[in-house]
Amino acid sequence: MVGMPAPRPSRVTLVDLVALAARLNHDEQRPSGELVARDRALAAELAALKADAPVDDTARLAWWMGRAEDVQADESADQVRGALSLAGVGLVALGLVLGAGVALGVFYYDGQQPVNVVAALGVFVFLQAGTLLLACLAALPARSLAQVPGLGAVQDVLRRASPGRLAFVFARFMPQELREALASAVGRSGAHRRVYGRVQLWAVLRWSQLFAFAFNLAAAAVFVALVLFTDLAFGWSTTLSIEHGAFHRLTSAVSLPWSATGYAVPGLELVERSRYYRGQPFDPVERGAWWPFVLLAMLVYGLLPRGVALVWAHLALGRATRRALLATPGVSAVLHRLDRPGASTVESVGEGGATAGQWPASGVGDRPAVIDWSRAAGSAGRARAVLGVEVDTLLPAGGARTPGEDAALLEQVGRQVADAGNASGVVLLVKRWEPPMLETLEFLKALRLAVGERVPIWVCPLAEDAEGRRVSDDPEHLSQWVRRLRTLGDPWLRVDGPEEGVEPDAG
Amino acid sequence: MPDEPRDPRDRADDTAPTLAVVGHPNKGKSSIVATLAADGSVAIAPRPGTTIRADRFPMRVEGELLYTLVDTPGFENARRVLDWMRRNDPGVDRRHEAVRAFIQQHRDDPAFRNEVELLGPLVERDAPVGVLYVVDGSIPYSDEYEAEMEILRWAGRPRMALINKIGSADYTGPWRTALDQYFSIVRSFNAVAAPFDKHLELLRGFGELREGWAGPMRHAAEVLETQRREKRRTSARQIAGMLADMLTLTESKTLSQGDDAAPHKEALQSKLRGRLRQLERRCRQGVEETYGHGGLEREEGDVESQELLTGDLFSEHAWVLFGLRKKHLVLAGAAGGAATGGVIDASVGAASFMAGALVGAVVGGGLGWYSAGRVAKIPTRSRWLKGALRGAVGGKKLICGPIRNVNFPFVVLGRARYHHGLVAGRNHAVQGVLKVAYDESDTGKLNPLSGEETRTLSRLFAKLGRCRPDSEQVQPLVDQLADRIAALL
Repeated sequence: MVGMPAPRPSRVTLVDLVALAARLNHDEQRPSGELVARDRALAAELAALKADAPVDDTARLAWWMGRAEDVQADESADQVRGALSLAGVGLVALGLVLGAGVALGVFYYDGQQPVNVVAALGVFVFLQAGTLLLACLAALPARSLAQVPGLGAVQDVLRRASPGRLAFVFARFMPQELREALASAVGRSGAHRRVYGRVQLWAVLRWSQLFAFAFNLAAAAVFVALVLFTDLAFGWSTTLSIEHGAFHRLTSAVSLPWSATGYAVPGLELVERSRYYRGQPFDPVERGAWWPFVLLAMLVYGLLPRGVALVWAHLALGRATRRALLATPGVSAVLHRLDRPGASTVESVGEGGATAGQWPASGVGDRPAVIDWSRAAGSAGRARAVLGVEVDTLLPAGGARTPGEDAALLEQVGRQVADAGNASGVVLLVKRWEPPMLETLEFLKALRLAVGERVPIWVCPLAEDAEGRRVSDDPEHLSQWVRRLRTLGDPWLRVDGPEEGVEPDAG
Repeated sequence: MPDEPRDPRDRADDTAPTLAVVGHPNKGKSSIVATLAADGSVAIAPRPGTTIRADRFPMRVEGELLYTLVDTPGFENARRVLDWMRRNDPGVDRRHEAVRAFIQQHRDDPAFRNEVELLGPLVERDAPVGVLYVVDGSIPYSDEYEAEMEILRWAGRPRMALINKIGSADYTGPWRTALDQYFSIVRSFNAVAAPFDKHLELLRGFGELREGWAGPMRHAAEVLETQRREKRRTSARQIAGMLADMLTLTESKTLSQGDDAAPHKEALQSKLRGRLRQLERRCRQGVEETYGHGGLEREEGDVESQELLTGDLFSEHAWVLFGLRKKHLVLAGAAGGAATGGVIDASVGAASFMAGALVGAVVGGGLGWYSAGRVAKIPTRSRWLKGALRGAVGGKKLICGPIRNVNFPFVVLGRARYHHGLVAGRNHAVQGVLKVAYDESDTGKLNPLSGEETRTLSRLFAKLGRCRPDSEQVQPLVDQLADRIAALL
């Protein structure tokens, strides 16, 4: 049996993202040897395709998703597909109903009072432009948003004044379990945001544009129908002391996009004659002359920008989804396995050492940078024995070294990883029996900055000392590493000993 | 207004030593504080990061401050702290100022929250503060500790290293070699298992840390030793009181004329057993509170040890574990019987030529032989009502107890001794349930008594058994019994 149809690399959707995440989650539960066997067979199949083989990572991953069988993941994907379709249909229906309803309200005319052009402009021009501007701001990355004059300061004030910050103050008075749970939740959410944040943002923006487009479409349609089948009369009225000239300048500004045609541009005389006051009689003659202006304003400031924004959001969602697909934790391990048909680079090293499947499952590549924190392994030979992989140089960090020496090492690792390309990751060997401390967490944060996002980092807490004597037998020792590193919110960081398989973001 | 003379205890507060307990996270700092401050409220957990603030635990006895222990969070960023201090080194003679400056500059920096908390007590001006650096001797030494030890050296306070072995492995040797280079005094101390005399030994050791501390710390050890003796005496009084109550306890019920006594007998016996169990429970609570372990829960390790603490007082297993052996029972029975017979002899002015004592000894010894390994039966008797009551109700009074079984008070005493041993030997670093680890070889050793002790106790038990609960004779007997029990605890 073959899995779900392979997604076309150019049209990766949210559903594919969900299917991939579910598939990789299930892979987490399976023995790494089994994964290696499965993917090596697929790698051989891929190699046999020769010229027809997909070339880039997205295409190879899409091909893999089509070949790697996972009924449960496909079921999850089907459910998500159904939910997404339902949500889309629901939003369109809601937009249509609300748009029609609002239009019927704004353009209500019973012969007593004319349709107020000010209200029509307010709802279908200014409100639309305002919400569209907010959507554009929301779409900007946080870094770009901070560059917008004034917004950076506002963001800063909002961040400082946010009641959410109080949670961390309260946390200091909470029992330890609650403190850890809060930090873990924040970390998990951070990790999720780093991988899927833009996808979530664009998905929400696309839905909101879909809704707004339906809203404006229905409003314009209702307006056309009212113009065609009823006799609307327009006027303008406001409590504000606005002179005719000022309102005329406003309508001229609104009609600027089509003013070159000379059509549907209200003249000063029409503006003067159309003003009305509540309770006073008005003359409906020629006041129907407003409708082309109103219709064009609705189309130009409502429907058209929403249509453009919808297409923009759709394309941006596609781009974000493709990026997220490759950034999903575990993908690098899959691609790594697909790169090596049939060949094993790892040998079993017996008790305490890496199993044949563990190394490729870690996704850190064949020649990762191996950092020895506080002399956890002590020598390259010991690291090789523990990890079951060739270790050219063991990079010392932590322990008796100074923070300056660590910073220099991080630069070196950054260069090494950049030179090695996509297939390389980093292994940090630590002592399992020593609790993870803030300085280790800070080092890992700096390491992430040095190597960049998506590069797999495997934190490997060793249970034996540098001489190979077993020191840690308490499962709590490994758990404390998993718990604390989870607070980092790094989706591409994995914590497990050579013989275990736990990710800080899993479970 | 003229200055009033100060209470000497206030002066002691000014000079009482303060020890800041510092170290790596999760190395037993809080356990050390809990044990030495005898304070069960210290938050202890097997997870790192339990302590996030520097908390003071003053050790006071009857209002007198003996010393103060400061529990601190573990170092989290020691290398960066040391790096900062080295870059701001004002010279060897003023390095403690660098520590103070570091705290002032990083008070609101979340990266150094723990360091600010733990170094704070070390830079308090004019405060007699010493440093107690705690490491775990069951894990290998690592050079990542060097920055911490160097920072403490910069703080310029007298310091001692404690090797607290949390696990079973032993790396004490390498640790001692490393610690000797940074600390003038290095001691091994297990916060969970160290017996009380080791606590006192350590306290006296603190006296070597700083000039002028030897006296206060020696005094503290003496006060704590005295307090310990007093706790033992209080516990003995509680146990003796319980035994007196148990040996004189009866339950009765008035039956109307023609009422069948049989169905009431069992209910009455059950009620008496219930009250006896309640007395034992209350005594245990009293002992636990005496040692500052109020509200303990109990848990047995395996099936074999089920009777040790939570097992029923009237179960056969409890009687086998805690009861006297046959030889001692005969002795005890004979002594008790002789004491009872002696009363008869005394009442006839010795005209019986001590026959009462002789007969009592023989009968008592025989009963002792018979009762070996048997759970006490509760005697129940009925008595005709007298006087107006008989006229009003008619019928009899059914009386249950007191228990006369020779072995019974020894079983109760054995259980109380065992419980006391567990509670008194429990350090405050040990939290959670009171665990019993029963060893098969413990059988017969749980209530060790010499022949002389058995005889003396038997006589006291017998005398108490003959008293009415409200009799004036009870209290002197309880006092005598408490003295005897205090020697056994």
